[in-house]
Amino acid sequence: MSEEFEPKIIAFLCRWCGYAGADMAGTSRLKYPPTITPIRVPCTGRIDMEHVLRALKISDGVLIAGCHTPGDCHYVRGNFQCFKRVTLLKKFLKQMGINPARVRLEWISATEGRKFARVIKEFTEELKELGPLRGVE
Amino acid sequence: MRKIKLAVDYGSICGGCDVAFIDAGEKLIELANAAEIVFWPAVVDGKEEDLRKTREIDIGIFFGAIRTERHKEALEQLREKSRILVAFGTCACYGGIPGLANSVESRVLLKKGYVATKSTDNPDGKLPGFEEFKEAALRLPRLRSLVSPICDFVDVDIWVPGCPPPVESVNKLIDVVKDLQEDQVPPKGLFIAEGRSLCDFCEREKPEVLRIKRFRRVHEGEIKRDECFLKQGIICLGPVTRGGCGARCIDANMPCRGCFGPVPNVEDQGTRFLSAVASALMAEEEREVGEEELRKLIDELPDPLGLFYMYSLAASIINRRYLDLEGD
Ligand code: SF4
Ligand code: SF4
Ligand code: SF4
Ligand code: FES
Repeated sequence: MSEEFEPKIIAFLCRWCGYAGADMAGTSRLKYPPTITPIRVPCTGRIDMEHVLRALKISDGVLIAGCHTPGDCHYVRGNFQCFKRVTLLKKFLKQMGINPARVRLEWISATEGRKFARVIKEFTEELKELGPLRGVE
Repeated sequence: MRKIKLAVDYGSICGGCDVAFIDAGEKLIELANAAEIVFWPAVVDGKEEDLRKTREIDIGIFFGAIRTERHKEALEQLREKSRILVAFGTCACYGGIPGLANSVESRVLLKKGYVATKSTDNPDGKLPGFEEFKEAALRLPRLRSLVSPICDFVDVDIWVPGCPPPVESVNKLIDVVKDLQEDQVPPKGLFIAEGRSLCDFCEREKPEVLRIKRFRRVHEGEIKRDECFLKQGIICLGPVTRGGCGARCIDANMPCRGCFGPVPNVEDQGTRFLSAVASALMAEEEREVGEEELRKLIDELPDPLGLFYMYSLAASIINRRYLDLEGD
């Protein structure tokens, strides 16, 4: 079954870095699996954790890509806000039986098209291993 | 004056909500004068039959969460017969403390409670609800896979949050019953509680910008009586919790655990708090502190589930056990 399973990833991408990185990957014609649904956000510090959870419920994994710490965020510390929230959220997810690896936070700059493609590839593989997210019915 | 037909039925309860009514004291005389109690197991003699035979009830009050199939039937029956349905207590409104059981599979809970504990003598491993206990000619209701708040199944007309709701809320509900005698029907969706957060009713000194240097638990050191708990690094759910309890824990020098449920316009009380408290940690000093140190500080909060979702897990976005980490 895991051979056929194509994971679905919802990706919150900061417009200054992660999103630009995805663009870069595109214009450099780098290949990566067609598993992601991108959502452009003004800064990772603006991502609502409730949205992350809703996204997780309709996908198999959530990617958040923002500007490198410590100094690259355009709003000074939005990336750190996101880092702290996601770190705490993962602890809760684990308590509920969700593998915390299903929420992945990466710092990807506008020039790192290659890293973007690699992250998508890796994350897709990892989610294939995990299989679909299933909860008690 | 016409007597109002009133019935109370139960889901998964602890008994505290019944006691909350008893605490109303003399005001109960007003209730007794205004209402004919058709069914209320803790208060009047009566059988399920009496409720089943009654066609219409003016006000039905439901305590407790929906844990078993039987609770669901009781709720649906009460809704069908009642002009006005009241969700009384946090369990009915948001799942309450019983909702924490959603972090474990029901199957695992039953095994633990009825097979695995040392004091249990159950050699065939029979589970209540799944087998008949012939010896006792008893069929117990089956546990559902989830604990749910009642609004997952029926429309709620009046919400009375609180674990249990305070006397003031009970008094207001009794006034609603009296008003019904004069055909004054309350607005649909009425909350017998405030529309703003508990912090708005808390007299402790609050910081302009909240910064938490490290978390600490209530037993670690002195707690200042006049300063916001969060400022002291102690988890307090005031910012995301609906006011209306009279800040009773705060006055007893204990932080809020969130029993009044989320403030209006917040769907997920626990997650909203999680975001807020993470933001406050080392606020504006993150760059200097760095990711590794921040991670360590966050690890000092061992139980976000129990701390942030204590009363509202069953009504949260992630409201159930997931099956990623089995064997963990
Ligand atoms: S709301 Fe609190 S007092 Fe009422 S039944 Fe639930 S646990 Fe008991
Ligand atoms: S967080 Fe708690 S202590 Fe601080 S103002 Fe709000 S209710 Fe009061
Ligand atoms: S302070 Fe919080 S936990 Fe205590 S009664 Fe009020 S709402 Fe409930
Ligand atoms: S602007 Fe990119 S993470 Fe803040």
